[in-house]
Amino acid sequence: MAEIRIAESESQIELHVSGAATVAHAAALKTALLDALQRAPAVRLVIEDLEAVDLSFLQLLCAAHRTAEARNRTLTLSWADPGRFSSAITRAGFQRRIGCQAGSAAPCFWECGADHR
Amino acid sequence: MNEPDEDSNETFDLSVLREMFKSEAYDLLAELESALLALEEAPRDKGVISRVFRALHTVKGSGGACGFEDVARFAHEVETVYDAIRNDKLAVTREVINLTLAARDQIAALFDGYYRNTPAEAEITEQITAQARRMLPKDFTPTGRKPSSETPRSSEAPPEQTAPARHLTYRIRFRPEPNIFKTGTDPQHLLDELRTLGPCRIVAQLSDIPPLDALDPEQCRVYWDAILTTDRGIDAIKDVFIFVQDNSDVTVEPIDVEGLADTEAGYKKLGELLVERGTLSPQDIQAIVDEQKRLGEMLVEKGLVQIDAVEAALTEQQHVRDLQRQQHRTEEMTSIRVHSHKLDTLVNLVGELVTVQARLTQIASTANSAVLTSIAEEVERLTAELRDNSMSIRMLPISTIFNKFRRVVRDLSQNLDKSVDLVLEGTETELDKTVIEKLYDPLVHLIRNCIDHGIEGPDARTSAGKPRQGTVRLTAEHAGAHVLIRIADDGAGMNSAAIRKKALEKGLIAPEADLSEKDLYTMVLLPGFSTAKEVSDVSGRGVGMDVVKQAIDALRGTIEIVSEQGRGTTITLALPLTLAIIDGFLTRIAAEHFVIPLSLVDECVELRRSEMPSSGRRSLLNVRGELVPYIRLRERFAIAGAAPSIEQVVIVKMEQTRVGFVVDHIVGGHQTVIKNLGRMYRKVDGVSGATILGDGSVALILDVPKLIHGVEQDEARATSEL
Repeated sequence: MAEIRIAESESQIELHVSGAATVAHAAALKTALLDALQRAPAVRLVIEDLEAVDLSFLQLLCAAHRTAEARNRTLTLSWADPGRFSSAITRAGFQRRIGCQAGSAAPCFWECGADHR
Repeated sequence: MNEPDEDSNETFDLSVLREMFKSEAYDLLAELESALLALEEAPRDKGVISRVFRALHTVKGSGGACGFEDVARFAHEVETVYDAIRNDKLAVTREVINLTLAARDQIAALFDGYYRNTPAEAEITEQITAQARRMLPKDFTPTGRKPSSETPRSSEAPPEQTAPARHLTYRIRFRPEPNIFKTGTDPQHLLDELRTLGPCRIVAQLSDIPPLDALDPEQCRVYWDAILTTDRGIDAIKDVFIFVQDNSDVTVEPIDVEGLADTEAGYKKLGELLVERGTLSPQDIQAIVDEQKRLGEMLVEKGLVQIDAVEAALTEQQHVRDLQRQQHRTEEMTSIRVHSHKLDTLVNLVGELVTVQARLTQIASTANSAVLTSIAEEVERLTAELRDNSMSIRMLPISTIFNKFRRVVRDLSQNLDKSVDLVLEGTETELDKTVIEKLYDPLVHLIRNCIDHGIEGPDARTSAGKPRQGTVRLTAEHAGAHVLIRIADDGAGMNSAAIRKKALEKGLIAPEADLSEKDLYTMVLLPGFSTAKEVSDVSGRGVGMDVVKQAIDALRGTIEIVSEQGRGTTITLALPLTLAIIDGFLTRIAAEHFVIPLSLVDECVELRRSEMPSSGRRSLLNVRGELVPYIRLRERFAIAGAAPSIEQVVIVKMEQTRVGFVVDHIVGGHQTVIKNLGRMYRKVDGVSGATILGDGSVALILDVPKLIHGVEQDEARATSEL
């Protein structure tokens, strides 16, 4: 089960994601992300302990990044523990030398060397 | 001169091909078995289902290509079952696993029919085929896989799998159908499988991902470009995608990387790659290069290519550059398959060389010639290196046999209605291949005994407050020149009272005999000894443990049994690393020479006559405050003559025990080619083999573990008499 904890301040919304970030919960995650990008100028996505993560979640993050850029919002991603999430990025071949150019306000999530801590 | 006809040419080709395929055939069957056991643990895991399917598919393809048409036809029938499974028309059940394991055994029997001249029973093939067909749902139509009759024959199309290994680099694009998530297939598993084929770089192409509001999160909008270098051939790559090929777009294209290592200028530049991939024209490239910016950045800025295309091309460039560097660095790491008898011959020849070298050294030491001495020393150094190298070639990881026990445990626990988990540890431990080959049968006996007599049934375990599932732990570790193999179970343990009673009944011990528990447990190794109430077809005939003892003795190993009633039993086998050549420590008593394995030698001290105990007292030596028991080998082996006034004590150490062996003189280090003792001397206690010295005389190799065991027994007896 994916767990999404929301922490709101005046300037930004933080979404703390833990549990199973998999296709079974992708619709719920999409709704939460869309809602946050609708309501706040800046959204910070914090990846916590993930029991499972699959490709659908990585794809969702890419789509959210594109939406944020289109709506002139800032979406940042951070994860403290380089565990399952980092491994999923590598396994799925998402790592990049050159980041995508959708983001001018925030770097591509998958660009090597980008600071996500 | 007779011209060979076409038929004989073809037969020759096929037999050569089959010989080349031999080790791969058995490797494939090992992989199939391992995949099936994994599938039994995770019957819904699509990745494992795919692994089984692929193994069957490769057996079919490669077997058929080498002319094993019976294997190809049979594998095709079983593969069809997995075709139904991958299409969700059939579930993985115990029956399916049993059928496939039986099929795997029958394929092994078919291969054995050719390679080992032991014909397989055709009836079994028919029975399994009929059973496989019955399993299939009535309305099931197999997907467009190649039936066995269409499997290419070697004379028509040489199979890539059986050709000598050649590394090629492939460009792969995998664009799955959008609904792939809904079919239960995780594309990440496929990418993982691709990586198992060889060095691989994968780039996800993300340009098709829409903004969030337009994304159906249950659809896959990502596709992948991969660059892979493998010797497994294009079919192996395509097999990775065999479950999804009908609905996905998969292209595999070999790229020309011939002579990579010789290309001083390195692999193709980014622009060349983009042109070759058809993304750009050479003119576009030139126009951009003139602006003197980084090419990738400029191309993206100009909108000529998408950033993903640049990423993929850069990845390919990096992959091939790494490959070039690696080719330079690791050319010597390239491996070849060599028939094991060639290695045996090599080691035998090295053994002969070591003996001749010892003669040379001996002659040089008395010839008083500096030149000869120098040559002898050089030959000695080279021989030692040659010996170590040859021996290292024959070392194999013990996983070679450990992994086979998963099936043994699985089948046996199923037969006995027990639940048993096999835990393997230290599988990377290396041992001489001769030892490994001879270890399989005794270990099977021991594991069967553990499960049959040791591990209780699930109900009995629950009543005893144990988990329903029993555990057999098989571990291996190095200890000096030995490998220790432990087989431990958490079962009922041995009943020492029952063993004592049985030993008394059989007249093996006297009623007043006061044996330690350890010695009582050792009784089970005697011929005909069994305390099992019923004779089962698994064990309990009293022959298994006797056979184990004989086999371990033949390997110059020892067996130790520790057991606790209600808690389980641990059997430890101590085996020499090799049976061929060891570093020895040569000693002399009168005119007789004895070799002690150097790895066991801890130190040497002198023993003066004045330090010897008076008659009837225990032989203990005070070494810096530590009392070390010792054996006077002169007495132990009844060697006539008087000992010198100052004797030498070679102190050996095994695990935590130190024992001294008293000899007249120490000669020094000696490369020892181990020779078996003749049949007449095989039962001589305390000697494990012999070796030939430089002067042609024979030296006996001490069986240190047995001698130490004797000392331990004497010590225990002396302590109990106090």
